[in-house]
Amino acid sequence: MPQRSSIAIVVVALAAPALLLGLLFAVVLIDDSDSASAACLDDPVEVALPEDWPDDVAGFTGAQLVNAGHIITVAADRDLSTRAATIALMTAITESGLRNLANAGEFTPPPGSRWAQEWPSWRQVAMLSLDYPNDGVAPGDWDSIGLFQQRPSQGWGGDGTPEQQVQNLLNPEYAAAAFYDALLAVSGWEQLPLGAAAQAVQRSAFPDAYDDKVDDATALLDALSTAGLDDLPGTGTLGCGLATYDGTVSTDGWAQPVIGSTYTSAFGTIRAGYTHMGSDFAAPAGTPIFAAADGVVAHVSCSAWRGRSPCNILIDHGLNTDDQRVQTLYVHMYPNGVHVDVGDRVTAGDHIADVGSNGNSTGPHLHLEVWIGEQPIDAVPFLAGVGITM
Amino acid sequence: MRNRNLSITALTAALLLTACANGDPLAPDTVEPTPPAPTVTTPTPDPTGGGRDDIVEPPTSTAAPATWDAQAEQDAIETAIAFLQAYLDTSQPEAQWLDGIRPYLHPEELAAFSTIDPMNIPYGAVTGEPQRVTDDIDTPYLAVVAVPVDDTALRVTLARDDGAAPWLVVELAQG
Repeated sequence: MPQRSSIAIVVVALAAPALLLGLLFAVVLIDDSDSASAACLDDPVEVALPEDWPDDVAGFTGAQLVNAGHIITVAADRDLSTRAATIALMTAITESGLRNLANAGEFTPPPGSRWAQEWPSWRQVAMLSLDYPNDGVAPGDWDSIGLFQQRPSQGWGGDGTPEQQVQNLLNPEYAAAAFYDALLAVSGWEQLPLGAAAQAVQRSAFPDAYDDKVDDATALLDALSTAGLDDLPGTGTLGCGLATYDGTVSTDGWAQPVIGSTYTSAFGTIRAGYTHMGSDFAAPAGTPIFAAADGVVAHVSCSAWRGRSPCNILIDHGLNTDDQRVQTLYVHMYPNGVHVDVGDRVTAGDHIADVGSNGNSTGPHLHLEVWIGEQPIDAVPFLAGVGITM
Repeated sequence: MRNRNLSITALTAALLLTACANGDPLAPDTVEPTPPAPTVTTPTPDPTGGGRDDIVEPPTSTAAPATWDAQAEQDAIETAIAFLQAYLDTSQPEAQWLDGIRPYLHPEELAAFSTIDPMNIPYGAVTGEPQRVTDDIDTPYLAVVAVPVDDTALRVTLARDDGAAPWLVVELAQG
């Protein structure tokens, strides 16, 4: 937990551009002089809008930063976690680019849609948004309005008149509060990967659309709150973010998949009539597992796969100089210890998973396999040959 | 499909022959990339040092290695199209809509795609020729197919477990 000292609640009129918009923020100023530790995702989000309002954070400027400030402030006012604020920012970045968008009603519904008939009345409501202050006008995606592209037809604007609903959705504080209400109603949202939690609220047509906004959300929280979030997990869920690999990457481009482990079972060991196809490295549960080399994630499952225990990750490192495919397989993780998805590109030393004891296992360890030309080989001498001593 | 199975069988046979020529097919004598072979001191495992596999399980299945060929590409494209046609059919109630896309989804992705409200799908129809995007995906286990839809393009990422396994959708994205 980051240390907190004197806390004062004040009302601060923000410098331009916020002044131009006439906005006031109630903020919590925090004397942060003795705190250098990065916040954990599940710590309460703390807001200290800087006196020198930034001009540009991760390419966001002006009203976009003010909107991000509203999203963070609503979370802080409600004592929500940094995780909640991160998910909300990721959502608004994807949905609106942090712009409070009116809807021009230019959407054409798919002809076969079950909702095509209802569109004309929804459209009338959506276009009311043109009459109220906004940061820009979108052609419109159905009747979506505002920072989170919430749809009045789906009840996001409340129970008032259409005019009231539209004004609510164009009010960043209302929209953020509605988002947080829906997030907190998602069962187990704190255990979901960040992007999946966003999707559980939005129910968008593209479930993975939020995943890649973690870095931008982190930069905004860094700039606009006291939380120093350097390493939020991309698709992970645990605590204080992904680990940074501090081992060496060999000149051949290989990294140590797990650091500080005990080698407990060799490749080729025969027990109960079967040959052990991997090498086992014991380490405490939760120890980071790093990608052994650059590649693309070709398989992830949390079921048994080809005789291997759940969860398992296969990385394809491409062809070697003999045109043989080089792959590495990581086994025994728990579902919340898997931080990559099929199709993800990884770099040697990326934190891809955490050691677990899932499946057929006597205790926490990484079962590591190296495949050359689709055949498992002994990983230990292979890694030694590419400059990595286990 | 028949041709593809034959070619994969032939390939598997060729791989096995190559491997057998080296004696033990699992011997690490084809270690790559090829640095100057160092004197490798292999550590000795300590089975009392902590967790390891319990009973060793039946080893790898006889999965056919995947390679790229015209059939694999065509299969990936056809699956992407069939998936998108089901995905874009929002004339169905939600449960039936999900049943429509389910056969094309990777089982690990079912939970993610179950969160979609088909009422939020803004597109109606496949409108042009799909193409496999070959940019920098260096694996025959993944395919990215770009499909023109209405006035935009969607990208379908598919994965297959081995050369004989069907392509299954793991991601859908705009652009």
